[in-house]
Amino acid sequence: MLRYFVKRIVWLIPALLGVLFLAFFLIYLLPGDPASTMLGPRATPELIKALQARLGLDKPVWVSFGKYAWGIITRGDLGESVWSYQPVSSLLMQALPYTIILAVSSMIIAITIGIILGILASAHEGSVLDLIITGFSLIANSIPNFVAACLLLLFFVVFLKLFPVMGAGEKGNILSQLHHLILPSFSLAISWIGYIAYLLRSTMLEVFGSDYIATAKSFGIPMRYIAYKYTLKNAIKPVVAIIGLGLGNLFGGAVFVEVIFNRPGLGKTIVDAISARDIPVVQGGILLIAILYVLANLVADLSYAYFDPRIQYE
Amino acid sequence: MGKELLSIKNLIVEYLTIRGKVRVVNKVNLTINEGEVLCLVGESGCGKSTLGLSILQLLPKSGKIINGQIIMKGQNLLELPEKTMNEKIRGKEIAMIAQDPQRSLNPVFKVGDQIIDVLRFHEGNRDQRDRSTKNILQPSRRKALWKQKAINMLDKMGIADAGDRIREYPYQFSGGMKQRVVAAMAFISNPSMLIADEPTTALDVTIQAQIINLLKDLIKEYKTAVLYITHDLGVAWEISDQIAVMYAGSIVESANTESLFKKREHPYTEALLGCLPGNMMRNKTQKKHLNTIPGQVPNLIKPPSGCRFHPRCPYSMRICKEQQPILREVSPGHSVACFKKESR
Amino acid sequence: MVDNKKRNKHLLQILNSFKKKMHRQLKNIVRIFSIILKDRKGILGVTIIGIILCCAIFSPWIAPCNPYELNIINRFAAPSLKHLLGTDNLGRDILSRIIYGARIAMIVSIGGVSIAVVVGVILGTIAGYNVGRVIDNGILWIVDVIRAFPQIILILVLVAVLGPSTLNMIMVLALTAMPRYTRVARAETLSIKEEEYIFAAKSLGAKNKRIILKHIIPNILPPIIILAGMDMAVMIMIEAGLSFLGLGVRPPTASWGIILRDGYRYIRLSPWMIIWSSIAIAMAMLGYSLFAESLRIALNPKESIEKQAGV
Repeated sequence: MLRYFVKRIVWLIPALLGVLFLAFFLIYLLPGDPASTMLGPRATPELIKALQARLGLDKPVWVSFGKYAWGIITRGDLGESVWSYQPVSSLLMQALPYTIILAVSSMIIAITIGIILGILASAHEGSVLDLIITGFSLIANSIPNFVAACLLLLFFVVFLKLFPVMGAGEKGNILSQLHHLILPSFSLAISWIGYIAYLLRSTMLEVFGSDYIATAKSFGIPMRYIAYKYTLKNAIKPVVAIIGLGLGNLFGGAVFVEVIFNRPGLGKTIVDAISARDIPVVQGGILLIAILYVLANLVADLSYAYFDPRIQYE
Repeated sequence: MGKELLSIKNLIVEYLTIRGKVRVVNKVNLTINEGEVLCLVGESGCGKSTLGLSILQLLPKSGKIINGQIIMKGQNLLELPEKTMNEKIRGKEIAMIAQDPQRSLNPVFKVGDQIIDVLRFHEGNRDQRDRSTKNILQPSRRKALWKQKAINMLDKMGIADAGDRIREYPYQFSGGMKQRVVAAMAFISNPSMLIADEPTTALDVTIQAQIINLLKDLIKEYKTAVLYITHDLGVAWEISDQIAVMYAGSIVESANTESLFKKREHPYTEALLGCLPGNMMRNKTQKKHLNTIPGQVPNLIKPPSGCRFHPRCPYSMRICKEQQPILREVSPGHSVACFKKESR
Repeated sequence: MVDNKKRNKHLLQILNSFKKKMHRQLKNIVRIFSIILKDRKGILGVTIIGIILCCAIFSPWIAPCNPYELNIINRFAAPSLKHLLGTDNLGRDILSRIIYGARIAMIVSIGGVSIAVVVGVILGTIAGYNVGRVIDNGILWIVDVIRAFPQIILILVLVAVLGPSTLNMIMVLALTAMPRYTRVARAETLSIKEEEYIFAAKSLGAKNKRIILKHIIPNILPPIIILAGMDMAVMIMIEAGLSFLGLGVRPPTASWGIILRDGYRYIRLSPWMIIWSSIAIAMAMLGYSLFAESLRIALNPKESIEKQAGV
C-alpha cells in the first residue's frame, strides 16, 4: 500500500511542475502587453514600467519563472495582489475555508441522499417507486449547479422568502452560517445526488445477478440482509471512487455557486480577480485549486486501492 | 431405504427467451426417499438444473413454474411464502451446492462470516441455551459458539488450519477448497436433503475425486438425502442409489443404480452408456471410435412431436411421433417412458 | 499497357473491399440504432437531441419572432399567446431566443468535440506508436498537466485571459476535453502495436501504418462515441455557465447562459427567463445523458441481449 502511495506521488511531481508553469505563463497569454492591459487605457508609462518590474515582466521568462517557483516552494509566496498589495497567499487562505466547507457539505448531502435513493430503487426494482426515483435521478443529474442555484434562488428566496440571499452568514454565528450554507450546498449536490443514485442502482442490480448472491439466497439468507449488507459492500466500490473525483470537481463547480450566492470563497475570489485583471491572484488561485484537485484525486485512487487490494498490483 | 422425503408431481417450468417460451421441465414426477442418493442424469440443457432450482424456488426472473407440486413432509413447498422458504427450508431442510465454486462466495466478506451467516439466520431467532447452566446465552457467547461450529465444520471438510483460514477471503482459496467451504455451509444446519448441482464439473479431475469422496462420507454420516445432478455417468455409478435419466425436459427412465446399468431400458440410456469410453472395446467393428448419439439435442422452443427422443431413436415407431410416452414400471423399481419397451 | 491494367484491377479491388467494409459498418450502425430505439431511454434521448438539432438548424423558420427585436415597453411580460414564453428584460421574445440559443449550444459543442477528438486521437496514436519514449512521455505530460485542473477552472481562466469570444471558448473547450481521447487512443495503439508487430515483421514497412490505422479506428470508435456524447453535454453546460458569468458568448447573441444571466439579474422582476433557460439547459443535458446511457447498453452485448428478451 505504501509503495503504491509513493509511486503515485512520484508521478505527480512533473505534472505539478507543469501546472506551476502554466499558472506562471498565464500573464504572457494576455493579448498585447500584459501590464498595459491590466492597468487600462489611462496608465502612464511610469506606472506601466513599475508594474512590469513588480511582475517580473522585464526579465527573461526563465528568470522570472525561477524566481516565482522558488518563492512558492520555499516560502509559499505567491506574490501580491496588483491593486491591494495584499499577499496573495493570505487572500487565498482567507477564502479557502468557505470553499472547503461548501464542497464537503455538498458531498455529504449528495452521498447520503444518493445512496439511500439508489438502494431504495434497486430493492424495489420495477415498481412505481423505482420509476420515480430513476426518473428523478436522471433529471437531477442533468441540472448543472448554476442552474440549480438560480432555480433554488427563485423558489426559496424570492417566492418563499425563506432563505437569505447573499453572503456566508455572520462570523461566529454558527446557525447563521449554516443557514447561508444550505442553498449553495444543495445547488452543488443536486446533480451528484442524481448521478450517485443512478450509479448505485445499476451497480446494485448488477451485483444482485451474480452467483454469490444466488448462493446466499439458496442458503435462505433473507432479502433485506442480502440487499443491505452483501450487495452494498460490493456495489459501493464505484461510488467510493466517484466520491473522491466528486470532491475534486466540487472545488471547480463551487465557482458558480459562490458567485451566485456571493460567498467569499476561492472561486469568487478568482472570478473577482479576473474582472479586476488582478493576475497574480488568478495565478495563485488556480495553482491552489489544482493542488487541491490533484490531492482529492489521489485520495480517491488510494481509497479505491484500499477497498480492492488487487488494484495495487496491476 | 426410508420413507418418502420429497415428492415432485407434474412439474412444468417454462423460460421466457428472445425467441419465445421454452418448456424446460415437462410434467416431471420424481420421488426421493430419506437417506437416499438420487442422481439426475442428462445432457446439458435437458432441464436438470432447472429442476433442482425449482425445488428451492430459485429460478431467475425469466423462469416460471407453471404447474405442479413439490411435497415435503406433507407440505407443498410451492405454496409456502418466501419468508418461510428462507427461514425453514433454504439452508436448513434443503441445502444446495452449486456448480461453479469460483463465483459462489462473496469476495468482500471473510469465509468464516459467510458460514456463520447461515447459522445466524436459521438458529439466531430462537434463544440458545447454554448446555451446562441452562441460562440463555448472551449474543457474544452465541457468536463464539457459532464461530467454533464453523471452524469445526471447515475442519471436517478437510481444510487444514481451519481456525486461521476462517479469517481469510475467498480469493485466498483454491477452487476445490472453495467447494469445501460451500459444503460446510450446506451441512452445518444438518439438512435432511442436499441438492448438488454438478458440484465437481468445474474442478480438476483429481480434485473431483477428492470432493466426491468427501461428499460420500458426509452423506453417510449425516444420512442426508441427495439429489445429485450430473451429466457424468461415472459419478452417478459411484455415488447414487437411484438414478433418473432426463432428456429434453422429461424423465425417460428411473431405476436403482445397479438395475439401470445392467438393464438399460430406454434407448437414450442405452446410447448414453454406449458412449462411455470403456464401451469402445465392445464395439463390434474393428475401428476404435467413441460412440456418439446421432442427431442433435432438440430445440425446446419447437420440440419434436410426440416422444422428444424419436428423431434420434433407432427403434422409433409411428406412435412415437404422435404421442408422448409416460413413465411406466416395467420391472420392480425400474420405470421407463418408452412405447417400445411397454409393448413387451 | 500491362501495368495500367494491373493497376486498375488493383484499384478496383481496393474500392471493392472499401465498399464491403462500409457496408458492414453501416449495418452495424443500423443495428445499434435499432437497439437504442427499442429502449425508452434511447427514444427519449434521440428525440430530445433531434429537437435541439432542428431548432439549431432551422431557427430562422421555427422561431416566431426576431430574437434581437427590442420592445422595451413590453418587457418582463408573462407568457401569452403572442409570446409563448414571455419576454425578457428588453422585451425580446424568450421563445425565439431559446430557439436561437440552440444554435450556439450546437456550434460550441459539436465544434469543440470534433477538434478534441481529432487532435486527441492523433496525439494519442502518435504517443503510443513507435516514436520513442521522449515524445510519448512528453505528450503524456501535457495531458496530465491539463488533467490536473478541474475543467471549469481552466476554461474559465483561459477564456478570461485570452478574451471572451465564441472561438476562444471552442478552442479552450477542445483543449480541456482532449486528454481523454488521447488516453483512449494511446492505450489502443499500444495494445495493437504488440499484435501487429508480428505482422509487420513479415510485411512491407509502409503497410505498417495503414494496418494499424485500420485496426485502431474501429476499436476505439465505441468508447469515443460514448465519451463524445457526454462531452457534448458538458460543453453545452460550460458554454451556458461561461455566458452566465459574462465570459462566454457576447450579448446580444442569444445563448441559454445569457438568458439565464439576465434572469438572475432581474430575478425579482420576472421568473420566466430563469425558468425557460433552465429547462432548455437541463433538457439538453438530459437528452445527451439518455442517449449516451442507451448507447452504452447497446454496445454491451450481454446487456442488450437481456433487453431484447424483454426480461
